[in-house]
Amino acid sequence: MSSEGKFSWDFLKTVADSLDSYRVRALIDAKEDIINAGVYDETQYYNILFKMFNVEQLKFTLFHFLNSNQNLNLTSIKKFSEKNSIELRKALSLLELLKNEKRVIIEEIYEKIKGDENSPDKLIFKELSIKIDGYNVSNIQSIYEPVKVIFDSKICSGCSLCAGICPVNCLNIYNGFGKIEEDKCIRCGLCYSVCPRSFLPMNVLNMYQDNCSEFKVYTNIGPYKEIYSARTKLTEIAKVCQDGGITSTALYYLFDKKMIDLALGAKMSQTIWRPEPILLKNKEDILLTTGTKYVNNPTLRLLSELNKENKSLAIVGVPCMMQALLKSEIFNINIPSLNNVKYRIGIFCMESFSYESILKICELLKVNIKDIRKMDINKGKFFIYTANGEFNIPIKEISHLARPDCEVCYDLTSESADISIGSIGSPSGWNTVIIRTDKGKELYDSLIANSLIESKPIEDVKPGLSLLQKIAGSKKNNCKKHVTSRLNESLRIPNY
Amino acid sequence: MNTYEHVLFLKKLFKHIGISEDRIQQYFVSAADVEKFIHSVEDITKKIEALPPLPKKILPEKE
Repeated sequence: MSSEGKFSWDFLKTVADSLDSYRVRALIDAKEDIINAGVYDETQYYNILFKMFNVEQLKFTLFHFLNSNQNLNLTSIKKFSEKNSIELRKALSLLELLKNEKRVIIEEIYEKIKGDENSPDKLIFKELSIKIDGYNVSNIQSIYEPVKVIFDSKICSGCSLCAGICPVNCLNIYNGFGKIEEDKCIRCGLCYSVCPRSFLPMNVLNMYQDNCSEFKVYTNIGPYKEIYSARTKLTEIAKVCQDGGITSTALYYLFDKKMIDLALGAKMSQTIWRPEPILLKNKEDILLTTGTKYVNNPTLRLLSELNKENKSLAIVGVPCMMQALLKSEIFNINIPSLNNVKYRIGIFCMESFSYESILKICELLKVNIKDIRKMDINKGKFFIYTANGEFNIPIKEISHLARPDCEVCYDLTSESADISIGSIGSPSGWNTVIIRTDKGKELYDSLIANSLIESKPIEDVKPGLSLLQKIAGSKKNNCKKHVTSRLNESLRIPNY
Repeated sequence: MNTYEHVLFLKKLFKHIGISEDRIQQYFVSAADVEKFIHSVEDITKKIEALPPLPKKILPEKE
């Protein structure tokens, strides 16, 4: 072993630091619990452990680097990423971890450029200011809390990725409310580190989406490549779909060409209009999942059952699920089922309701829930279609029934998905499709090439992109308003 | 987690970061078993002497 002599003392110091890190130690000590819980087997456990060890080690290398340098800014992070041959965005994600442990204070400095009549005011990124938070060791929060803090402060999005990855299976999310079995919990903090509402470095997320390492300011619908308006050509899907049926068609294509083995989605359960997660195994299952459900659904919970088999996955979900998935990809924790996720198909989401709220809306409209054929939100109104005709109510009158936890969400258009699909901006019967990554582009192009869908550029349709931008902007503004009011009441807010 | 598993983990960790696994050894020796104790000490010294030296700790200057 001649390589042993090459170790630097600094390297060994980072090893010792990472071993001391609470996240790693919690995993080491709970080995027996984890293996007994049966979510991960022994090899997978070691993979997760050593991946986390690597991340921690890199993180401490960064921390020591920052400690030994002065005048820290973006250039020093660039230098670090060159020295260790990692991408700048990776280094920035490590910096985010350090920030969360209260080891460093980061400030992003933007410059405002006054626009004229034609172009509105613009923000341009200028510099990153980094300060080491003294040597105040007592301040450091190296213990990642379990997501209970998120549940308790009523900002949980109900995406249920925490329940999907928990190594001891101690989390459960039902009807948008999370529960944790505290006796079982090993305090490893994995759930906290994937939760989209704990901390979410939007800049880093956008860099991964855009495949670049620059700070950019995006429009209200996030980074995207192309936008189209489209509808399906498959008659069996067109009959049952909500709008254009693109989501179902995309899944149909992926199953048909055997590009995925499984897909996650939502279907109606025994109780009518209460959705439940479903694992799609073939083309026929797709028809069970068509149509929008406005009740929160913990789809990602099923991930915990998918660790055993090595099968590629597509996941259909709302923006918060996409955020969680992208975040877990960035802070790579080597969970087998997450490594198998091939496609993230996002849908637009304004807010979700609890099942009880849907019952209340039915009461307001004097409709029996069993008669409902379809629900829809369109032009500021909530529509319910039954055999006896359609009923509607303005959104403003029912918005107080939506989940309060959804108020702090800024994302309408699934900014973290590979491809986002929704109806806003397209005429009725059509879908707006936002292509965000190369994978999404490939998928969409092959859908057209196989003549499964009709597609038009968004510029050619009414009401078009401006409406989408406007509505996405209003969701962002609402989010800002709620976040500020929560700040004033000194409640916990998601760290975007 | 017992000592045996901790040592097992450390062996895995050493391998992961690129140090020889031989640097940590565990022997079961009874307090009365002198022969075995001597044998195990000799065993581990022999193994470690064959390995290249690790970097020395540079102690920070005391103020």
